[in-house]
Amino acid sequence: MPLLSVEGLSVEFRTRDGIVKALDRVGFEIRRGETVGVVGESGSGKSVTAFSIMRILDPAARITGGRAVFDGLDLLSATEREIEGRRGRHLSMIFQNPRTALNPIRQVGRQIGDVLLRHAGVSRGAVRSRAVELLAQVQIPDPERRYWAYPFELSGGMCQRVMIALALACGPSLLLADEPTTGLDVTTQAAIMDLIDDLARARRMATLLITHDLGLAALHCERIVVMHAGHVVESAPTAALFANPRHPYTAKLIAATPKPGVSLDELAAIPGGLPDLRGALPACRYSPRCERYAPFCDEPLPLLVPASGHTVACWKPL
Amino acid sequence: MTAAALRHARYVVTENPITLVAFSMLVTLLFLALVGPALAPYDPLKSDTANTLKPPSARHWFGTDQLGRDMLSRVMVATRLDMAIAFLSVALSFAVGSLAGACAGVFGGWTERIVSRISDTIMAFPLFVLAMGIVAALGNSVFNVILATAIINLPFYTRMARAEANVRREAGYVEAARLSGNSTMRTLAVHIYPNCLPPMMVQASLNLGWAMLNAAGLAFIGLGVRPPTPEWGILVAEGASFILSGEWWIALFPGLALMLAVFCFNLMGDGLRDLIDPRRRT
Amino acid sequence: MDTLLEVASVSKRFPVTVKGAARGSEHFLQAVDDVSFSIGRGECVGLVGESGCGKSTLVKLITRLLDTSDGRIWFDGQDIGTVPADGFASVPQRALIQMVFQDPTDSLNPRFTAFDTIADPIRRLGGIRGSRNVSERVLALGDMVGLPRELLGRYPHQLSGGQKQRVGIARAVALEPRLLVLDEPTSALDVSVQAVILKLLDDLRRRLGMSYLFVSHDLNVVRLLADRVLVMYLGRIVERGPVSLVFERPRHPYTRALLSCIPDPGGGAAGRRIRLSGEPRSPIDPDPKVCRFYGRCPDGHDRCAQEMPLLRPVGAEHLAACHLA
Repeated sequence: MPLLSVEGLSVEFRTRDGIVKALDRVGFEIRRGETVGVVGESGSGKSVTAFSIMRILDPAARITGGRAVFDGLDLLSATEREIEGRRGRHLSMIFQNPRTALNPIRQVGRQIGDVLLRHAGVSRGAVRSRAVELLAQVQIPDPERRYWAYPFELSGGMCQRVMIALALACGPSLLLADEPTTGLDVTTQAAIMDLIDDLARARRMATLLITHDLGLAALHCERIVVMHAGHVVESAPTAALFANPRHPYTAKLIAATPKPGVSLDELAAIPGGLPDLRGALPACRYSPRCERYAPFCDEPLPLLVPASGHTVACWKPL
Repeated sequence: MTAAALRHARYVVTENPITLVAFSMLVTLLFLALVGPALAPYDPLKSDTANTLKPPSARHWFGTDQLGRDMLSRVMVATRLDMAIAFLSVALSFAVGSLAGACAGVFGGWTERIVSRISDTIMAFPLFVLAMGIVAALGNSVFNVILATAIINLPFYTRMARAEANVRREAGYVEAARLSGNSTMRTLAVHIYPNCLPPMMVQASLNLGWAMLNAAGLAFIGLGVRPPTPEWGILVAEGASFILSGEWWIALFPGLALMLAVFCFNLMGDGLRDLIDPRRRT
Repeated sequence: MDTLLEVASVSKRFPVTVKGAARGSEHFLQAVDDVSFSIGRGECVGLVGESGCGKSTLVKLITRLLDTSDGRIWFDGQDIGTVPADGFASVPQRALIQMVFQDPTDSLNPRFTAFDTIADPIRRLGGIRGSRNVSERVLALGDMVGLPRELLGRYPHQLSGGQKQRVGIARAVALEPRLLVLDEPTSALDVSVQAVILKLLDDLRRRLGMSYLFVSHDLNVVRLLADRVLVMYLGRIVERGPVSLVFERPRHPYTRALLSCIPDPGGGAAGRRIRLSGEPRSPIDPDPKVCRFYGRCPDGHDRCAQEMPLLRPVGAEHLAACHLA
């Protein structure tokens, strides 16, 4: 039984220029303790997916279909009360740009304390020591003193550790990590990802890692879900995805990522740009950019059933 | 104005019903300011001793005052003076304040110190009292009212401009401008200053209302504009003494006009900012 | 090789106030410390380092947006360090040293159309008179960087990231500079667009005969374009040499740690990733006798805390600043 099973998730945004069909029948699943990566470029809808699951979408957004069953409860149709009971305690999230995700005028230790009081039912007396413990667990040096620090006094890496402490305070079974290391140095990135891996392993916590960095996903995820323009195009165990990408977009993405041994000429570019998500869209949103396009590609794609094997949403896979 | 700009203007005005209401009121006021004197049914200065203190009627929609002058005409004609004072003082304040503030924000050092100290000094006074003082010292004239109102509003603009310029000073495009050969002055004038303006438009609009109230307030206590020149503040002052004896219309209508004008300006604030901020243009 | 840019012992200090320090005491943040290197004509030199290493400050010093505290900078044989940054806009070398910025949104004036942005340097320093001539040049530049002509009338918020970056590149090459500093030009772009922009940059370099200083934290990208690379840490250059040598046989422990942390998109195992412990040393009033990397360095001897290691040769044109290299 998967911990989280997302099926047919569709989301629309109402904007002044029309309706943006941000997500179209997105589906995937995560099992307990598993780390799954959602990889895609900007505009692919990966953050929107996470925000939909957490039900923290912008008011202009509307979930027009689908289910996200987490531990028996469909998060998309649950009441606000039921969601509040899950958010923070069983299901939590860390964001990009940690400094802006923390309250700038409240000491970090206190922010952790707030979560503990609200969701973990820790008594007022025990809150401070528990918060300091958490700061130590995320390897912040001198946690006793850093309890009183404000976010602006900490480096980006440390702020991210604080956010991880906040997210993990109540021992959730699923962590959504939305580009947690973008903007951080590569050495800090490695340290933060190691921390998340270690903590996840120790607590048997599942992680949904959202990133545009294929290399990062390759290193830390057991399975990868590739998204393009609001569609899931491919889903596979990591090794299989890289050894044998079946969707043309996945193959192109891998070929476009700089790596040692590949020269500039060999680096692939993906022609065209993201389709305009307002207005009429073809059945396969990648088809305008695909060199393998054939007339039968205009047939509506089948719903990608979340499964553990290697699935691809393409009529002419590689 | 290009076609795109006009289209954008129309979009901004019609998107939000409040902006539309405010805009319509503004157009009406501007119209009255421009042609009010020609449209007024009676000569606002002509007294008619046979018709004093008459309540609103078909002949005199707003009634007449203690000298028999038609109130409707007086209110309409006063529009021009009040609008002129409001716009001119805010324009003056905005121009001088934003430039001084932007220079202070970009150059720092002594420029900033001087500008800040002057602003602080002005803000240390209760602003209306300061305006009174300036007009009393310089003499009663429309120009002095405009000057006084402009002076007391300076600090709002210098502060905002300074903060905006300070932030933008570090922006990539400012560095790029330097690399392109723009001198410091040119960078300030062409790149930094125009980008500081959009946030200040809201402030300017709110200021219009405040400037108008200020001028009316000064006139109410006998400074600045003097009777018999029709000006809403004076009209309210003249009517104030008649409220208790039951002639409510002499003070009410000018007061209402004043209120509606200020209300209109306040509503315009956001609309104006949307109008000139290119980021909102799609 | 014919040298275009020569940087000799350049340093930059910023005065700072330190909480709890004695009154009247002066404290300085050493952003760039005794940096020396050169760039040859037509060469692409990479500059790598993490946040706080001083590469942004070094870039500002080289492009003369900031004055040095110490050291000299020669460009094409002329000492440009002596001209103050404020007055550099009117010096002939201004047109010859240009920059492409990291954040395409922040580096374009929101009130200027793409056309105006590209035309600005031409109007200021291009020596071209007449709006039609300027127009012609802007159109030519737009074509050179692959920007469709109909986009020239748009404002930045109406352009995509890749398009904005092309505008930035067109602006930077408008004056045909000899040295182009590229400050993380693709890090804000999607990987699909990145490849196109990188190829464009490479192509432009050959076509216009420019030298590049390519600043990036992404070593995989630096590897693609650079001939030589400089590694910076806390204001000092800790290693420099040909790209292949430095990346395959790094001699400084920091370079080794940096290289080991790069995720491999091939999906292969990470190999032994060197984890760096602790926080970097403070750049404020650093001790000139202690190696900046001491404390975080996985190797470390007493000598490292008594004598600052200087760059010394460890291979063909390959230098590292480490006692243990």
